[in-house]
Amino acid sequence: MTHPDELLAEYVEGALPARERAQVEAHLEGCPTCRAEVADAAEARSALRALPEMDEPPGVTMAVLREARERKAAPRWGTPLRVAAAVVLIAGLAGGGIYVYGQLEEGGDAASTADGADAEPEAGPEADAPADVDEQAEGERAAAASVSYPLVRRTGIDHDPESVVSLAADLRDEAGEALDAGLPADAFAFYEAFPVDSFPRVAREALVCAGQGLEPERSVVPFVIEDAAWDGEPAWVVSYLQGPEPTTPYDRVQILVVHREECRVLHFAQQRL
Amino acid sequence: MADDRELVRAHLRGDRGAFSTLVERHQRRVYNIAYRMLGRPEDAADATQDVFLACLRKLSGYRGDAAFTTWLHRVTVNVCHDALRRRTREQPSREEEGPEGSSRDVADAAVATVDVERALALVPEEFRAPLVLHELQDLPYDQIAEILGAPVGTVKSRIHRGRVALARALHGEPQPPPGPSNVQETM
Repeated sequence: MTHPDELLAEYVEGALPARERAQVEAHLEGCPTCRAEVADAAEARSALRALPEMDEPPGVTMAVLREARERKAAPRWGTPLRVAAAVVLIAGLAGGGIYVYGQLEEGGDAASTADGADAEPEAGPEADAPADVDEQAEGERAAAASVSYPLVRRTGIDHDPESVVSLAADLRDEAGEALDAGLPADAFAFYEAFPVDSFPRVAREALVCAGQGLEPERSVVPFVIEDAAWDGEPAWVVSYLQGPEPTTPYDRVQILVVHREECRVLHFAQQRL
Repeated sequence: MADDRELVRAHLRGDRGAFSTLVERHQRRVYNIAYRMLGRPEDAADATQDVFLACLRKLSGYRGDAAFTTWLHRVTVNVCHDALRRRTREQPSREEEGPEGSSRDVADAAVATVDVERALALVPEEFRAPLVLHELQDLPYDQIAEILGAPVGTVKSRIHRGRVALARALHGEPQPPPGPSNVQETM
């Protein structure tokens, strides 16, 4: 016999609509097991509901409140994990020679990227291009006023190396359009137009987790941040635009995938603009 | 008074007082769930700490799409499950003892409370969590389903089985083998 456990829970509480109550009662007529269970369940319910609410011990959360205060006081870069992620990444960037421009380099894990740290330094074709920073930044501030960077998108896409390849191509195109529409063309101008303080809170969270992109003195600017997933794990997919110098135009888009909670580097890729 | 979500946002913006307010607002509820799940005040106190530490670490992952209390309850239940698993690993025999302080030379009402507490500790864990949330925290079935990530029908069924298990423990009867008497879990 199939016993209506689900209905019995509400039957004991007197919460069943008339029709289902009649159904249960018809079952109980012929089922001594369920009759006994209903009596037991009713007894258990009143015994439980008579249990007193307990007072929490004084100071039970004191340690965690102290930790919360200390966390706020400490620089957010302070955790070894984030520093490690940043070091690995910076090492990877310094070894730019391992990337083949014009096609996407799938970085795989960060360790393999860091292996190339002793490769010869790169010089992008635009490295010596002159840029009139002040004038450029001024114009772009006005033009870009309606759009604020970095852009944050909650896509929930479960990424893999292949989807990052196509994301990189899309972002290259999007960066081209954004530049046409007034996105400041180099890091210096970008941070003039969009100081770190102006970044949305969620963007700052992601960038802290990714370990870079909050440093106006560097040549990296955050472009689009996806709140997404990697292999089923929650992840930030952070894309950066970068030029050879802070004052030279971007020549590549980089994508860094980090675990949203643990901030581990999960994947790295880049695409030349 | 700021609601929970506003406090979470304020905390993430760096407002130092926001997290304390959240903790003060919810610590009694968390402690009581942990106390009923774990049966021992010192374990409940540890679990309460662990819950809010986990919150501190994970708040940036709170998406705001579930009520904060649902999220907090989920963290609490998970912390309690972990504590129970640790306890079973470390002291396999103590689980059977139930809560401490079961001295008989106290007032009758207190004896009854201790009996129920001891019996609750014998209810299988998968039934205990929904039972505690429903009977002691007055949470509705659908919210418990969201907290436990289980279908509502499963939650109802587990609550019924939990009540029956509790009554048997109160009567000093042996617990039936784990699992419900029939398979209706996914209805």
